[in-house]
Amino acid sequence: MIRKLLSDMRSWSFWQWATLGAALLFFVLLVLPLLNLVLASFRPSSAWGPGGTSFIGTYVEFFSYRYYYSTLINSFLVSTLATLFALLIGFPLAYLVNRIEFPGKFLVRVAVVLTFVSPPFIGAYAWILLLGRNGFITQLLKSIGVTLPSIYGWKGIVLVFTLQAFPFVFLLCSSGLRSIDQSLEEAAINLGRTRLGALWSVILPLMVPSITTGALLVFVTTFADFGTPQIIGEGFRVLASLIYSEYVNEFGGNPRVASTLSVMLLAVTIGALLLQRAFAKRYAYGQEAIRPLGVYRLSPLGTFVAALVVYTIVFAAFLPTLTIIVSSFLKSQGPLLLPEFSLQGYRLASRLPLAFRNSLVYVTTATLLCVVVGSLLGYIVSRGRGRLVAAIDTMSMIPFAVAGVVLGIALSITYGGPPFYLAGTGALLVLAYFIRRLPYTVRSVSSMLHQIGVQQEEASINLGVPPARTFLRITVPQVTPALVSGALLTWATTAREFNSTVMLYVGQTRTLPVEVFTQVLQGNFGAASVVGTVLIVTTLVPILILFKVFGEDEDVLV
Amino acid sequence: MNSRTSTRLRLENVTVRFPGVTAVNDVSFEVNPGEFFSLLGPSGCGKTTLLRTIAGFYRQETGHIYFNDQCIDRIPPHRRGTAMVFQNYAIFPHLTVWDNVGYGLRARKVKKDEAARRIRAALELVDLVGLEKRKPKQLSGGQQQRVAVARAVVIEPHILLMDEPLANLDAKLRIRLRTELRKLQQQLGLTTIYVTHDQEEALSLSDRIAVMFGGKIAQLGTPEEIYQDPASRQVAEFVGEGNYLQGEVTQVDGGSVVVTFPTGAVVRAELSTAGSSGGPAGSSGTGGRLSKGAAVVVSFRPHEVEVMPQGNEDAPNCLEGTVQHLDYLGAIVRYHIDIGKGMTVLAEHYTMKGVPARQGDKLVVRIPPERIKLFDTEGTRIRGRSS
Repeated sequence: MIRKLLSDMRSWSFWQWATLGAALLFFVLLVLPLLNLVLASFRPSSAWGPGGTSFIGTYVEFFSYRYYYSTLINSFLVSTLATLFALLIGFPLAYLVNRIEFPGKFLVRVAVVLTFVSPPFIGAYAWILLLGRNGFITQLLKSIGVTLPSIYGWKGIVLVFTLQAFPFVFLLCSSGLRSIDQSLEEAAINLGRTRLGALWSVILPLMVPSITTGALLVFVTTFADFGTPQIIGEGFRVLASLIYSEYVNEFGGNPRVASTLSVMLLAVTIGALLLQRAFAKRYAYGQEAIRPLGVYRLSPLGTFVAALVVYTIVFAAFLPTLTIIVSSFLKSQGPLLLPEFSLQGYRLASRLPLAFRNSLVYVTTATLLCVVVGSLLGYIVSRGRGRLVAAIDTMSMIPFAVAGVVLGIALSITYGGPPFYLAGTGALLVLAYFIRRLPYTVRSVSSMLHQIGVQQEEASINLGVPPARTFLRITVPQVTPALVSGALLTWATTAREFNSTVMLYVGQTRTLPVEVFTQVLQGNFGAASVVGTVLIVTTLVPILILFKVFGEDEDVLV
Repeated sequence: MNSRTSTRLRLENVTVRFPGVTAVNDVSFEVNPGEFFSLLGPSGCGKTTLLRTIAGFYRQETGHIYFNDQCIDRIPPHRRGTAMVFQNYAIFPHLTVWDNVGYGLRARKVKKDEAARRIRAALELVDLVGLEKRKPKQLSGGQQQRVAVARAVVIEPHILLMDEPLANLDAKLRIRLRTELRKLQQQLGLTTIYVTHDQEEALSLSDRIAVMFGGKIAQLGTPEEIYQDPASRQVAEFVGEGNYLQGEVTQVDGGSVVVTFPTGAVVRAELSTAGSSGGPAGSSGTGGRLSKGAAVVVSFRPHEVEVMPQGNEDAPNCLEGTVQHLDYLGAIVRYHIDIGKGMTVLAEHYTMKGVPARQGDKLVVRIPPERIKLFDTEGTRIRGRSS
């Protein structure tokens, strides 16, 4: 049997080899590390180590000690609340922006883009600058005798998560709204419903897939987020922060406990993904609008209220970024920011160049890898057939469900030590970025190819151009714009990557987001703002190119 | 551009199988040089598969395909010299009209000025002069269709293959382009294989038609033969409307057969002898099975009857009934006539001669004996004994 396979392989074509290579790649970079992680959580260390000699020892301990299991409850609490609030903000915002006429809608785009380009925890730090003990607004209100409730703890986490995540809901709901035909609403009104009644009885049910996808995205990203709770939580510990402190511990950390916790996190995020899939599938109608839902006019008062609601949300979303940028130009003394403009922060940012250079090198390398490997894989997935291709397709979906923290630990325990010794190298970071973003490239290439269809390739072959040249002349030119815009997006997204970086970096390989985080934790708010501003600009540039040159809009960000 | 002499296409026992299905089952036919040949059938009958096999996108499991006398089984699709017009046109969106049409010439390394001359000629042929610099996105559906045709004919293919090229156009445009397509094909003298599920399209365009069901050719013949002399009930039903009334043979006299319906009505049919068209073997000369008492299906087309007012019901070959409802279509009126025992007859009448009956009125239809076709209960055509 093996001999037959080997003799078959001798006559394999390029694409068959590429398919095998792709499957191996996913196995080595993704399946193996995750397997390793799961195994590590079950591997008894020593009689007095954590978990003892029992296979499920660490799991038993997790559910026996409040210190452990409370983090799971906390994570569920903040993520559920954040999801709920993000839906409550995101959906109405999408409806108002897409359906009601009022001026200044482009501000919503700006706000959405800005929340996207700032790294996840930067909001936490900005809100501390505004509402913290010495916060700008806190001081302002104190001077007129008003005391605000504390921003620290779960309330602050939920606030930051909500503002960080509602754009996802907004974008998904907006595109969901655009897929509903105007005639459906007209039919509902014609049959005696009010417009609000039509929203409730027709539009909302049709949007279940978009809404649940948005909810899932919010839940999964916030559940696995580590930076925000660390900065604004002040002792309110979630699962992700526990993983971090167990793994990156002054006493060397404990891989088995960290693995156990990671498996738990993995289980929750995969569970949420499967739940949403099943749910959305039942409510998916595969509709397409010939004439999408239109815009209508409200009474002057109604328009005013609608605009006010939208502007308020936009302002709240915009505020953290504004705070960071403004404060980066303020004079600072440790945690104190003085009301005096200065470029001191930029001049004295001695730690900035290395972090900037690291980010540039790692992110660019990972992006290039993504483009090359991703387009190859995209072609295989969309044009190939057979069990191996199906396996690749499935494996390429895994990174969607694997949180950065988890991937970081999995890669670290698999390739950090012997025989690879990649711990503390930039290579490990590049691998993590590469594997995390690969699915997006694969998906965009394969859907692009799917859209182009095979008929154009066939037409070309039929007209006399052999397959390889057909690929170059017909397929490549059409996929290139998608590839380049995909690369820009990958670049922007990876530049702000934090959750897996924090598990894998050492001083010499620190990136911009890590540097912001370090400065915040050390209380150097001025320096943090400077690095944060550089990071915001770094991620904003490719996004702007994407919009201006490639005519994309904010929909590409989800 | 008529420089190449036309190609003869021959298929010999071609079978194409996919996992679990035999899409084309032992098909043989020959298409004459310059002939317009249609493959007609419902979706899933194997007609597109057959077309794509001729283009080389599928490989037949058994059988051979010949262009003139050259077997092309082993020639890869890009060297077969068949030009295909795809249903969705498959125009290259990143190339201009000019570059789309010139695409196949470039692949053939035709010299630049020669290519330019041929592209211009092709664009003139399809009436697209002046749109050379447009991108496909800026063209209407009809214009895109013309680009696809120009791109195919410009390479002077051995065989022109068309896969429902008019299916994505609106009805009026479809009929106009149909005429243009036919004119163009005759002008170029290109051997053309045309796939369609639209019987009217096939009838109006083709020199000959192969009607396909379940991967097999059910009948092959000229449009007239297919329509007037269907080899089976399946073909008759697919190509045009008809009445199919079950009755019992009560008298056989050579080619003259008398059938009695459950209602008691009696009709006489003059059966034609063995068909002039080459239907599958066994469908002709089955008069021997026609014994008294045999169950048969009497078939005739709605426009083949004569509609008469009440009072003629006792004349030979007349059926009487009540008008259930009627469709007034301008030139003609269509009567749905209940003749009793749950049997309905569809009959057409030219309004030029007046509208003889309204809903609920009694009406008589006369069926000319030579118009009647008989099928057995399996749907096989029953013909008269050729004596």
